[in-house]
Amino acid sequence: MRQLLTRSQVIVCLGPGGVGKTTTAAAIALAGARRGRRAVVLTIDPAHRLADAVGLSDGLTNEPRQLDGAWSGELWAAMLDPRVTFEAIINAQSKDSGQAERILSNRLFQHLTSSLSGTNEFMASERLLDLHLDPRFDLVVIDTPPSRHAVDFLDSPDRLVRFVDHRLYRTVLAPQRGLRGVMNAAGQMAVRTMGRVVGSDLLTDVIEFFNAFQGMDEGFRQRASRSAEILRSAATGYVLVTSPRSDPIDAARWLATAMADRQLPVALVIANRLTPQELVGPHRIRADSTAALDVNLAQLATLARAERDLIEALGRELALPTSLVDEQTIPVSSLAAIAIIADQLDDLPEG
Amino acid sequence: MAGKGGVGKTTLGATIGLAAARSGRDTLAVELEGHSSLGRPFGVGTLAYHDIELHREASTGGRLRARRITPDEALVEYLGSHGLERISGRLLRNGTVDVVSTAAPGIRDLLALGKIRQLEESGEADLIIVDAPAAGHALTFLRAPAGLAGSSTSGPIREQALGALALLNDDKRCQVMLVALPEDTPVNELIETAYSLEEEVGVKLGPMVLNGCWPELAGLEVELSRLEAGPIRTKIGKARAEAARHRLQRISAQRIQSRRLSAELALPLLHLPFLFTTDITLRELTMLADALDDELTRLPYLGSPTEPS
Repeated sequence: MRQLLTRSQVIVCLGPGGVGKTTTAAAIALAGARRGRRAVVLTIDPAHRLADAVGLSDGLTNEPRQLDGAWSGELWAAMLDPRVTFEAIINAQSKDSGQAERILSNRLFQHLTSSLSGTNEFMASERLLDLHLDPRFDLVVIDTPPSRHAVDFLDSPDRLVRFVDHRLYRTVLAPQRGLRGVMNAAGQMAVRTMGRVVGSDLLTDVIEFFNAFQGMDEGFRQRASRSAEILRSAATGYVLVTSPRSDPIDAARWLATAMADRQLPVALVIANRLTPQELVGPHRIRADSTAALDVNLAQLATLARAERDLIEALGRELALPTSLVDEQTIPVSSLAAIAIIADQLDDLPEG
Repeated sequence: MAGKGGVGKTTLGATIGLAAARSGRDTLAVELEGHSSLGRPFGVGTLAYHDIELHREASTGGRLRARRITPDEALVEYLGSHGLERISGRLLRNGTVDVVSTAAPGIRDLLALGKIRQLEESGEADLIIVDAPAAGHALTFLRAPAGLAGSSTSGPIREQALGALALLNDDKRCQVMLVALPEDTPVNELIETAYSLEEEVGVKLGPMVLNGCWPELAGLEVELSRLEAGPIRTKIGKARAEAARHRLQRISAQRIQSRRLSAELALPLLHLPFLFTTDITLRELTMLADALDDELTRLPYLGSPTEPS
């Protein structure tokens, strides 16, 4: 953890749902700030939990907000707003306000940014690039959506590049000027097939949308390539967050494999929400004791040991170091609780 | 089943599936993420696109089957049934599907919903249980039909979108059960999701479930205060006190969350117990199904979509 905190420029928290990724990401950023980093934590989870986690009742926005506290560096927090991010890129990349206007008023754009899954993942990688390039920050910590969607996020830059490079996109969705009207037979065939599948008016919307993009796709492509580079960079560290139950452990194992397939190495496993260490024992409980205190302690000790065995086995299997964080007794919706988790992750020497 | 990740949607799906099978219904559980552990308590690993029997209840004739639905497989099947079988494989292989779903991402969600609807309409089972994506994504998933119906005026996508909407908006055919753990954030998320689902999707909400409720232990509180009355010097004494506080704190927190849910949403609320284990086997699942049956008998009659004549 210490190495990650001092050397990384980007730390990505991956894991199944409900294991405390958001809180962990905030704790990592806080630990970074304590080590003098100018850290920003970005949540891309559409479930909007970072505001709760950092105790900001009036919410977080796309624009990072600085949090005050006793650390030598800086701590900022932001929440991905896909629409604002998309609009900002379009305004920055378009040739003139007319083009930006045409794109922003397209029906497909409207629901791309408001209701459809997939867009979040694209915009998250865009936002990661923004924050990484932003001179205010030297450490970006991102919280990702659960399992499969985290992988979508990691794949999205490459996917966009593949999309823009795909023959179908080049010939049908966004033919270069001068080529339109002389679409080859294969292109026409593809349009007819797609029309049968998706309906011709939706296809018209799609084509109009990408036509409005004329000249901008190269900008998008370049940005996506930069994002993909960041994700592959040695200065980007991946942390696998899980909790001590067999389902999230399975999901973590699946994610570790998916990461290995992409040659993105996970540096550390963080296991959250463990039954507190003090309860592990061994305790000298009389087997025939019917006292509620003993019955309860025996139940919890058994659970606490099973949890540690499970995490240990996962660490051995993946050949990764593990870091254990006890379940918090105070509500995690406060910066104080996040500071306690940061303590457990990184016992920073005083000063 | 919908709720924040990690609140036990999949386990609840299996629990309801087992309870339904025991009561004689032909039940089909569907997972959408491609790697769920729905079959695990029954000793079944990865699920396939075709269904696998997980449980059969000899005394009632009920059973529980499970399968997965992925957009790609649903698309190949859809194209096949529309006379486009030969090109479907090619569309997948050469990346066309990828391009189309990148251009209009909700199409993947719609394909999965379309397959669920087809299963429901063909009478494939008495009851279909769908393990929805985690909360934020459940919303985008269920909003996809409205989004796509609004953006196309004709064609098969619109037909599919309207068909899916008709299913979602008919409370005799489809209800959403929201699940949470008795903690602040999952409960907040359940409440938010409930409002969004009712307003934006117009789907009927069934009973809510509070999972992982710590069972009370008679005498624990009294014994703890007796212990705390004097100084605690022994190691075992400290551990007893710590463990008791741990449990009592959770019980008091879950009372607050349970009250919050009942106050915020006018829906029946079911409580399922916390099990002191890291793994759910058939033994634990049976305990949960028993607990569910007990909880259901305490509820007023909920109505049944297919009234016996």
